Amino acid sequence: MKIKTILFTLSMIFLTTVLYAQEAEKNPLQISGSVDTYYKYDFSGFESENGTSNISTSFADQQNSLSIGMIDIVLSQELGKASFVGEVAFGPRNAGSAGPAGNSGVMEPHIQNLYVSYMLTPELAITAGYMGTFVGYEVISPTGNFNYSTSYLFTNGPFQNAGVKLDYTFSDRVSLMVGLFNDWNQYNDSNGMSDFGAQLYVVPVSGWDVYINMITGYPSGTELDLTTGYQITDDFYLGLNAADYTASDDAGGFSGAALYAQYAFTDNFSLGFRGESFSTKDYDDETGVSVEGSTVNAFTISGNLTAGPLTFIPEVRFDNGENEVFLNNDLMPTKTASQLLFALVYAF
Amino acid sequence: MFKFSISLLVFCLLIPFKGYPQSSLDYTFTSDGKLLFSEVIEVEDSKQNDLYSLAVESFSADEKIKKDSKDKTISIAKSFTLHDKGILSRIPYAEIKCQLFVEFKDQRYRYQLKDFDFIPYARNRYGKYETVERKRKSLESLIQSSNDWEDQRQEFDNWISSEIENLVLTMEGRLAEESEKTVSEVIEIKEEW
Repeated sequence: MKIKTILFTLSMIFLTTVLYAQEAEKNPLQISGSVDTYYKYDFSGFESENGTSNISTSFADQQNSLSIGMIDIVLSQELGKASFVGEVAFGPRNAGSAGPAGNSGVMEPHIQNLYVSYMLTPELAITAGYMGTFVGYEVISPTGNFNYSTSYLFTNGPFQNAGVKLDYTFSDRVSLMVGLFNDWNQYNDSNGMSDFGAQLYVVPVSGWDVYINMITGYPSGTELDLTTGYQITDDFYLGLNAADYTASDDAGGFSGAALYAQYAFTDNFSLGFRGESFSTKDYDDETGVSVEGSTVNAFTISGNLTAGPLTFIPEVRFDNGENEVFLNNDLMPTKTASQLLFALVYAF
Repeated sequence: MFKFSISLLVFCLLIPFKGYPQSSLDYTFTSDGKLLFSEVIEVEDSKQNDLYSLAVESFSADEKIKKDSKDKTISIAKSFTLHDKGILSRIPYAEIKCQLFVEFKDQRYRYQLKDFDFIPYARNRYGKYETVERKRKSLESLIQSSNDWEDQRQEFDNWISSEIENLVLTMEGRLAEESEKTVSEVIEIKEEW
């Protein structure tokens, strides 16, 4: 009797598991991510005490060493009207991107995305959580950028926005997002969730995407951003990012523009150029001293050689400042800096 | 009870083995290099109007169809997601869009699956996969130029086969229903009752 009961129970458990697995197969849990590593050489030879060199944009900052980016793991699933994404990363690239204030340790895990979403209607979705920022052209994940080093606009803008947002899709060509967010890059907000953000997405013609972004709040400040890209031919793509940021309490800000041009010579080899002009604004510091803004122009040429999930990125970059903001090997101020970089990015 | 449990357990073990991959389809191309799946299906004792009406009724509920009552044709936009076999799970690889175009004549109809477009997926800044519309291209260019197509071919072929099968079985099913209605409506009134 006991054996019969056990056998029957096992059968029912197995049947339930199989049936659930079949249902889950239609909407499987997706597991994806990436790992990346790089070598960079600053031609000036300058290296600080912590191993960094002249060009101070996000990530890829270690001089003359084989360094690592991050391991990034993304879990996501969509079942009916509900979906979620949980993305966590480990490594120096991750540590340089986000996390609550006071977090330290380059190998500590950081949340890149953690949110849930629900389709209220076929056109309207509500999303809440901690999300990659909607502002700007470049992203944290190396799989999302053509160039391995990042722009000054990316470095100085928000990385993540935690909050709640509504996305309304008017048509294939027009959608609108509005939301309330915490301060930039914060899991929690000491002065309340008071940043307002909005994004208008328009497709004027097929192949041309336009994003007009705005985020404003205290003490984060206000940033207006235009991100657009046009696939001119099957092989040639042109992108543009322009932004203006004003810090709260007249504490300065920045403005800039970056042009991205990419050409696919073959299915596996593309060459890209990024030209950026970035300026900081004049402001008075806490002691009342005027700090004059300055401009830096950056020119980057990157190759993308792909072999399935692996991308090899050789890159050369030349930055030219209005002022002597860089250091040479003799630790003397200089207006220019240049670097050579090789990166490997594996997406899974 | 014991035999029932054993039977149920054996049944459960067989469920995962639900089928084997179908063989690859033969691809045919038009004179201008476009991929086309086409076939004429014969339907005895049928009229063009009836076939057209049945098709409109059958497919209108589930899908957006464009119908031409003058030429007796219907057109349905179809789409399908191809997957990549990731290390730990299947992830979206591309969306395939095409047109299912069906024409009707007396005693036959012809379907064409054509105008195939390939739109790759990419992971966006929010960690979700979405189509990259600006990289939309004809599927033919991918089939003819890329070695990667062989990895996705079986899934694509299975979908094409299922779409054709669905069309044919749906039409057969509706025709059978109509035939039964016609038969059941015939009543012979006997003089001698």
